[in-house]
Amino acid sequence: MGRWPTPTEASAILVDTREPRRVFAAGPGGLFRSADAGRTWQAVALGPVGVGLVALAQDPRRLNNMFAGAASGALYRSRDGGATWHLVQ
Amino acid sequence: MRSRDASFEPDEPRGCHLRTGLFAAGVVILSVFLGVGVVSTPEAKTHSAVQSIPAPAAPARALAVDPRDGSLIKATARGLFRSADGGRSWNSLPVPAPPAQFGFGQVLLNPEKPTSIYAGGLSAGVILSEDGGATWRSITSGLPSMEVEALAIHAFRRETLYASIRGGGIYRTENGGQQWQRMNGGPPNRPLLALTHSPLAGSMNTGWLYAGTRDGPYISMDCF
Repeated sequence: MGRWPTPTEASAILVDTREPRRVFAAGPGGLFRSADAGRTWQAVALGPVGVGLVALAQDPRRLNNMFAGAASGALYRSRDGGATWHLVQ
Repeated sequence: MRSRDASFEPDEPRGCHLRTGLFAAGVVILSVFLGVGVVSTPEAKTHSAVQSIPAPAAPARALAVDPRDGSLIKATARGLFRSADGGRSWNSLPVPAPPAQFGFGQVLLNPEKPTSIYAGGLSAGVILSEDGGATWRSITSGLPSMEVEALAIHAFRRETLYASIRGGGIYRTENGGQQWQRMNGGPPNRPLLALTHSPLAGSMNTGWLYAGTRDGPYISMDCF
């Protein structure tokens, strides 16, 4: 695995159904995206800075729809394959 | 910043070979090996819907999307919940009382048979509903304990699932949970926080397993 860009855990990992080299990983350090199966990671802006995440999911019907659950109980949704996110709840 | 070798600790090696070079410098991928320590557990039990939990704003520990209608299911410390409106409101699923009291850390659906929902958790074991969440049964035959810390479904062999048992290693079922077998010890820095199967090319078997740990993700071939 490549360098993990945060000194915190990976609590959730999602492999993009369309392209398995695209991987999302999340944890207390936020959301990170890899385009090369984990060799490199880039932080994804998701709401307020410092949102700790514990869960990720992709809608199998509409693969651009993704969800991220925060430890606080907040739920975030992306409609563009994980590029941008907005708070649902 | 840290880098790390990506490997699960092999345990009773058989069949797979050391492999490097999927990624560039700094990435080492070791294959994983078959472990044969099968431990019997009580027969799977059938449960009916016995518990209804008031709809709370319980934080999700895991999320899954039902391919039939796009509804969202979350595993929480207070049970399982389904949302039909994209997560704005939630209704509890009637999971059996014994595992529900411990809460759930994982939930996943079989995308090819989405009425099949799996859930697991520490002290909760693994439970399966084959009717969309109305009734559930325990599927723990072969698991050494009920301490399920992570759960994953194979990317295309949908009867194959993986469970990480706290202190017990990685287990696999190839028949939808009827029987589990120990595969290996998993990554060295336990506990596991997440487990995800990938169909990424380059594996000596069918794909790869990502494991979420306290110091980041690990990857391993699924050639148990």
